Amino acid sequence: MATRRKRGPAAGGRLLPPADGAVVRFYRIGHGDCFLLAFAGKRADAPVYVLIDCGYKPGSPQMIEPATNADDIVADIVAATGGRIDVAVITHEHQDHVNGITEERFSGLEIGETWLAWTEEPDDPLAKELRRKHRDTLLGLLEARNQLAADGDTARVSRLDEFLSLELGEAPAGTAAAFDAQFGASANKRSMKVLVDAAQDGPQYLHPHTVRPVPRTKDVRAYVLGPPRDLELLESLDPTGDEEFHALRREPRGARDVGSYFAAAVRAAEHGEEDRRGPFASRFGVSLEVAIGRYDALGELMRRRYGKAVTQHRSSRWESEVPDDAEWRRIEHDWLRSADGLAIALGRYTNNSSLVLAFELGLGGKVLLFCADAQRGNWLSWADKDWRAGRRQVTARDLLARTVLYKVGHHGSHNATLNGRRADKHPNLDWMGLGTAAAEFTAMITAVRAWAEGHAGWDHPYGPIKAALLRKSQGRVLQTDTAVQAMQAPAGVAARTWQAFERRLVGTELYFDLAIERSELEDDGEPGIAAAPLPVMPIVPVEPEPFRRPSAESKRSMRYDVMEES
Amino acid sequence: MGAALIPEPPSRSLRIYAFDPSVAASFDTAGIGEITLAVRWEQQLEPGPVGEYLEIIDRDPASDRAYLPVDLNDPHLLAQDGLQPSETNPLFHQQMVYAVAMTTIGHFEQALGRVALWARHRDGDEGTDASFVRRLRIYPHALRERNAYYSPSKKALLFGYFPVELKDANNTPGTIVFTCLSHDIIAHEVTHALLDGVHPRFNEPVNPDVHAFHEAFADIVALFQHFTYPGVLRDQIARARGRLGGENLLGRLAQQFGQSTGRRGGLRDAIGTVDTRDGVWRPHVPDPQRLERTFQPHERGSVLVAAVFGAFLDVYRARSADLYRIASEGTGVLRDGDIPPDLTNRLADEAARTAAYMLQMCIRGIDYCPPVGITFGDYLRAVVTADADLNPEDPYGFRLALVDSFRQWGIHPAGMTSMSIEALQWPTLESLARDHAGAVNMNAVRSLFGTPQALNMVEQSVTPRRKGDQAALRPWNLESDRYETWEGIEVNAAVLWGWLVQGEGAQLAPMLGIVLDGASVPGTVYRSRTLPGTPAVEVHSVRTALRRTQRGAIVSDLVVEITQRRRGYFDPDRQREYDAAPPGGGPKADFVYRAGCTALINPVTMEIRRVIRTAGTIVDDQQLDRVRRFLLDGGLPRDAYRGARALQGEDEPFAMLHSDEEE
Repeated sequence: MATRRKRGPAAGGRLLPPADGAVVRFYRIGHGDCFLLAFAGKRADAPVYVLIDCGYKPGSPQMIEPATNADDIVADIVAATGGRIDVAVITHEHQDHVNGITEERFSGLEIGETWLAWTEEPDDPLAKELRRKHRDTLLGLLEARNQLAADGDTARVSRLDEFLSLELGEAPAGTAAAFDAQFGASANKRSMKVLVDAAQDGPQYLHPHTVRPVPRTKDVRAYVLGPPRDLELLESLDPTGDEEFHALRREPRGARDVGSYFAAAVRAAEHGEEDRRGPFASRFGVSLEVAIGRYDALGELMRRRYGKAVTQHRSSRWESEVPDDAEWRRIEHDWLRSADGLAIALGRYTNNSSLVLAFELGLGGKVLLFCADAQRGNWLSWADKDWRAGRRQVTARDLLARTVLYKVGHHGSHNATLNGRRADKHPNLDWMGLGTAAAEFTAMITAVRAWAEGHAGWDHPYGPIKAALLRKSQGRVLQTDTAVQAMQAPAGVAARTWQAFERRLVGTELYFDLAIERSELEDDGEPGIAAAPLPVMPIVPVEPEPFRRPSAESKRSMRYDVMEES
Repeated sequence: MGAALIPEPPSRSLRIYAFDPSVAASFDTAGIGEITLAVRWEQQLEPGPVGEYLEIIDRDPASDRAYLPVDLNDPHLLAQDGLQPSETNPLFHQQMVYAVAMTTIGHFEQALGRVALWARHRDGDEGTDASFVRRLRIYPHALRERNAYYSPSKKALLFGYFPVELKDANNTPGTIVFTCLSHDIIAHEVTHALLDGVHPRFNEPVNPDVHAFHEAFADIVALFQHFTYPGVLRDQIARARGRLGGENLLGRLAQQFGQSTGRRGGLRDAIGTVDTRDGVWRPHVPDPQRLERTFQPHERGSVLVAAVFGAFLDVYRARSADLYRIASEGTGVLRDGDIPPDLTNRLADEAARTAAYMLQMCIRGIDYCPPVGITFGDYLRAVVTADADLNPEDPYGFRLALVDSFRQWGIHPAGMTSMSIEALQWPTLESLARDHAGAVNMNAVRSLFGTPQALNMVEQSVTPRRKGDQAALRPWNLESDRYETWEGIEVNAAVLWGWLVQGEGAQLAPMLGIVLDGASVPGTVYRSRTLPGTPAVEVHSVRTALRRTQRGAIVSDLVVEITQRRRGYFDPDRQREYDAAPPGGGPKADFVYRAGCTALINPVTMEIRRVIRTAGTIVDDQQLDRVRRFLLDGGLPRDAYRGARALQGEDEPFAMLHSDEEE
């Protein structure tokens, strides 16, 4: 471990890439993302800096040993860049990606461009429609939360709060009116505004399957993989519907509209409106209050079998028969249970609208893949189309194959890294890091396991995914809460291979730096690595193996399930 | 009045949508969109309807409405087979859920030869205070959600409704889809409730098949129920020229629900699907590898449905081959054009009989399943054994067709060296005893029927509890009030418990896969509260199953489920630590591991006829580890924000399962 320099947070020199290459600084900001990339500039003494996200779930930095904080991290960003960021990227509007960005902290930074997904574009009609629905659903959720809070269902309320604060960047305001006001200027939106306003060359809204040069570099390109937008569908069907949004089309259709129907009912309930847009003509029914007071078949039925108070009506001659109006059989609040599903759908929707970028070091060169929180729907769309870069046609398969750095999707959660085989048509982990890229392939997981599991009950990172990453990368998996000193070469990995990785890595309490040489594989004077046609651990062959029957537990779905122990 | 002269009618005619409103609204299928069901006559049917088995309570909390209840005894409704089918009249919705649910209950009672009982309500810790739930409650408009589910804690079905947002040939935006108007969804949910009434611990997910089995079984019931409606069947047979293996309405489930989510066909289709790439319908081709890569419960379940449906088609084809030959001058090849109505009727007849038998076979199988952790392979053995017990002869080859079809879909029981029908049948106690190199002590079995047992145990309570009482096994009473039937079950369970734990049955325990020797078991195994130190035993649902003897007489066997439980920890080291510790120590378990057996006892000859054991006993560390690994790694975390740990102990296990339906 002698090769690892140790630096305190205050050391703060400039972050310098290797000649022609890049260095990625993975900040240990907590359960959230913050990356600073330095690329070699056109002028050798002027590196180009790209910042990707800056946020964390509150409470999670304290569970890293030793604890970090956003102030130190932004101070380091200022020092490392010399006060100028060429490109600031905000992948999506979630607390754990943006809440580190405040006017105060970022006042010392100049920003060249700010990149956002097309879903944030103010004038795009489709984006506007999506944002409106998002807002409606959020409002409905908040009201459901308030009703549940009034009932004392604290477990569900705290679960909903976790989601609402993801979307807002702060705890939700108590009442609907306050929330309405809060929504337009939530902490998340304020954070995003800081970077949008600061951008000297203005915000850029990126569309999938386009290519953007990284300014002032010789030939570093950013390929936009997501969020998807399916133009074919946009032209052929109902243009204001939600189905042209690719991610949603492949998720349950219309789920979000059902959400706003649900939300309308919750809002009406909160405001005590008499008519909640019930599905039937008003002659067919009355409110429970009125029904119970009536002296007809309906009154009799509701009084005797549904009830209102805790008292129990027993009409049976049998002692152990449940009372007709047992309280535990009523359903007054079960419909609010949809809030759970909606909250999850909402979180998934925002995650799926993540801006996914692949940075390429020169045409046909190494690729750094930053997936933000993209989940299944986003992944599936990557291979829908190719990119044009110069005269070349670049495919998703090609980009993934050249990937030497994979920022693991969504803290390593179960549906944010797709499983599959190389022959599969959907992009998946097996497409990544092939050939010579395999020897360098490294994964970065932005997760504080103790916080995720203990505080929110989230399984981040998901065990089988981490196991697959460890196997694929021969142990080169960096995780926010795990100091590099604690990392070890897995059994069976050659010492030289591991040392080559260690030489590229610097770990401090505040960040991990991973250097990526442009031409390391050819010119580093270590023919052993470059000449090795395949990495030490074999990649799963393209053809299914005919002789090995999968055991009962082995699963070939797109999720990672039971993998061999490792 | 004339009550003495006019006998009670056997049934009440009620109109329903044969499938759902979308089929009735399509010109092409309008003729079969509505049908009239003959629902068992209930004398005491109150407005709601509230009868002996069901209570429909139309409370819609999201709209704060209570809808007027339908009174099916109103002379106006009696005279016209109930209300006319309508989407806009909630009273018709109540009528339809009642009619379809009663029909499904009827199929269960007919197949199992006993009255249907709902799961009991448990109060207090460890469910020591059980009470009888006479009626399943149905809320036709409970949720504003694309969902419908059975709530085991409320003993209620909750149906949702939602607006259509798509605009295409099948959908009008803004119209509302009511899940309670889908015949298939109603039948599916009632089946969940009926199954919960049979097996109390059956839905605990300890392997990938458990949830999938529940979904598949409910789909199978809904599907075969289609074939019991003669008008629909004849129409579809005529259209398909008798070939049921092609695209038709009968094999399709929940069409309107499916279309509202953008599918062309139903939510699920037992026969085939529309290929999304070219829009062409293709039949399912058996794929023996599919189970190995399919784990979403509905998708996995569809393999089981396809296997059962494939067997049905095989038998139907064999049974109708002669009709084709008769109608085609011996060639078996029909001329082009419509088939004659007589042939249609005869073919429909064959299809109906085949489907009815298949449905009964499938339902009877649930009495022959292990008490926990069902797998598809177990279910195959269960169906084959149950059928062989009831109908030793199998002239139409139902069992063979089933085994063959299951094999083609890659479903096979674990550890079987042969897939022959004879080998698949569950063993008898006799044969198990021989394998243990011992003999069955007949006196031990007989004492179950002769020796009264004390009923004062804490853990196997009898309600109402009668301290100091003693009782012997009671005969099953079919004709009395369902409460007495239920109470008889409770007493019988207590008697059986006494016999097995304290009486002479203890010597048979090893053969039943039950461990009673407290000295040798790990500390994590739950201990009896009545007999400190002895591993706890739970006896569930002593019920009857029909069987036909060699002479053709029908007898009822007693079915008993016996389970034991053990605390499981996700961390194997902790598991070892608490296994070695004295009983009762250790923190709250991460999960519960259960093992035990289902036994079928013949009360006449006093022999234990079938013993259906779980894969391992309660001390089996390997099986415990399998459950642990399933929960940790394969436990289907339903979304990125939830860990597998939330899986066990969910208060509404079916709610999430059903709303995930489409992923």
